[in-house]
Amino acid sequence: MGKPETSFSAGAIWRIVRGKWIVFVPYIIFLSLFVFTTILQPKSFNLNWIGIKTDAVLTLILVTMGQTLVLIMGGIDLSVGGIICLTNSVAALYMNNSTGSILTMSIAVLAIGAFIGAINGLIIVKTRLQPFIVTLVSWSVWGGVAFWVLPTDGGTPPAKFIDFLLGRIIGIIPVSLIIIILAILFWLYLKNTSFGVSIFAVGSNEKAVYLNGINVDRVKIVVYSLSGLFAATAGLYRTAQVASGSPVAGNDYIMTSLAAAVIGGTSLSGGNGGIMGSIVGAFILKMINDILIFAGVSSYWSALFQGCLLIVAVAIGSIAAMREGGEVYL
Amino acid sequence: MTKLLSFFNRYQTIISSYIMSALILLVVAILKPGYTSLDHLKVISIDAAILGIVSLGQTFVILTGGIDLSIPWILTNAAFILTYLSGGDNSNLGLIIPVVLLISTLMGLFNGIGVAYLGISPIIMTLGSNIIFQGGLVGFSGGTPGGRSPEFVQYLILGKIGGLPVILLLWVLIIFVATVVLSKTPFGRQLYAVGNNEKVALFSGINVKFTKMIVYAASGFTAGLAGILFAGRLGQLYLGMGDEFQFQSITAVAIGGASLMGGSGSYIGTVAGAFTIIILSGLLSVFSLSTSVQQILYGLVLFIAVVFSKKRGKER
Repeated sequence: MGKPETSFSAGAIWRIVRGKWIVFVPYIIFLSLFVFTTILQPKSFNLNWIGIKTDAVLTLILVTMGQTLVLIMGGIDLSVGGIICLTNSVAALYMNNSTGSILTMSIAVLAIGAFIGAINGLIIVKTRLQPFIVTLVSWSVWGGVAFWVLPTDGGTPPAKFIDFLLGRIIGIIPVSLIIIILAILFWLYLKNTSFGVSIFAVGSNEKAVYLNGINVDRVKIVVYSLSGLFAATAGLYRTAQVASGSPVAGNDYIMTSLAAAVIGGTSLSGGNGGIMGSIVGAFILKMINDILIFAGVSSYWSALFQGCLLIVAVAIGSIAAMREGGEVYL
Repeated sequence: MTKLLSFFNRYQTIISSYIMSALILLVVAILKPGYTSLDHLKVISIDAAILGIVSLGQTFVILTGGIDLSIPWILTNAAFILTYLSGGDNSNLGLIIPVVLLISTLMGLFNGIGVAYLGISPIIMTLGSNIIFQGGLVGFSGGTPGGRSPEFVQYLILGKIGGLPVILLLWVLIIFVATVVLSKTPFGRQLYAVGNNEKVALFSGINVKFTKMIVYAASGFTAGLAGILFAGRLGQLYLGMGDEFQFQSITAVAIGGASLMGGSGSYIGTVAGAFTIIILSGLLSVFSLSTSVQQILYGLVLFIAVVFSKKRGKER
């Protein structure tokens, strides 16, 4: 209500920062953890070390990208679990060690993901059922198909494929790091396109968007397809990273993708968030895991910490929203 | 008149659930005669009772428009805490069983506080707490917990009073109490009110947050009770024993005609849902179908049930 600020003073900057302080929290946590890990392991810090970290976290980043888009739109996608199970199994089982096979199988796997996502979107749009229940069913069904494709862990993905995705360009730059940079560029481009804006719009006020003549159904179907596509890329990358397939590979990624997105500042009620934050969120989860292992905490506990982080992150967001705008009805 | 009509509608929903369950049983009976012998029907009822008890809490939660995905590991925790504290021995069960039920209720309360007072969406809260309970149990036990359930708990499943399994008598009692609570008490009416429209419920003086918290605590309690019974059913415990109940409890409630948006449904319906699922999984094992087909079929059954209950909701 005060008079508008015209001069660019320290006070004005403070006001901007104070109003949006919560946006910076994930980045601050990320930087502190980064500094902390480098202090813990000062000698190992180089580009190769970064490569090892990005290799390990890329699967989570890829699946979280799609999950983030769905969350921004006000939905939720539990089917990413089933899609990763299926794509991981298919890729590990059917890929041969020839460039042609690797390319066709990769494209086929990505098509499977996008197709499953499109079905999810179509069912959600046509039946008006909650996204939660439709994608829960989808998780069960496609996870079942994964069991049918590959009953037990196994499959040997070709060495060429593994070497490429886990490789270092010109011997130093990790491929996974380049994929992450491409992901960031993709997001910076997407969020300014009219489609990107409509994702946010559908998440903040679906009715208003509909009344403005935007085809809400189409936006939803495309976003769920994208989520399926990203989950498939995650399944594909996991195939290279683990060098094997598993029909239950994806189940952990449902919770972790939600956690990474939420820790990165994406709101579960829609209309807010971004892939940049999600990438940071994924790194935070991974680094906390590393620190726990470094501290000698049994890996059995890591799930517990991830669950706690998810709930705390959501609670902080929710409490902040309550303080800002009265009560939250969820 | 409208009251009578809506009552009839609700009745119709439940009847159709039972007809569906009976039809599947009939199919199994024709395909595999031995499957419907009296002895085997008892086995079916025992499994249905355990699923039915788990699904009672899920029914409460879903009636308020929530969902509880943390059932698997509350149940597993209850079973393991029971065997750990008792060491497979009967001697202190009079104290241990209440303690186990208290712990599982507290786990449910944790969900309830998160959902009701911190405003965390039920899916995230219970998905997260499920992982926490899993991590806690696996972490404390070092990944390899084991143990046999005490004789008395096995008696609850196998033992008979007047020719009927003890667990069935227990279940009948639970069905009676739950139905009275849902249809005759203010608390029951509050559940429906909160599920139908939270704001209206709030303005009519219902403590919405408290009601929402209590249903999750109730779900923790029933999951704990089912965990104790399931420990008796299995004899030897294993990690992941509760996993199936996550999907099955939601499906049982959906088959029973409850709306997953909240506000409509009944426990009698859920009972039919529990029977349907157990008979169906029996059917699958008759044909020795793999996990793969089972998982796909469960998904489709849930989907069909949800679509139908949504349609019925529209017609009303």
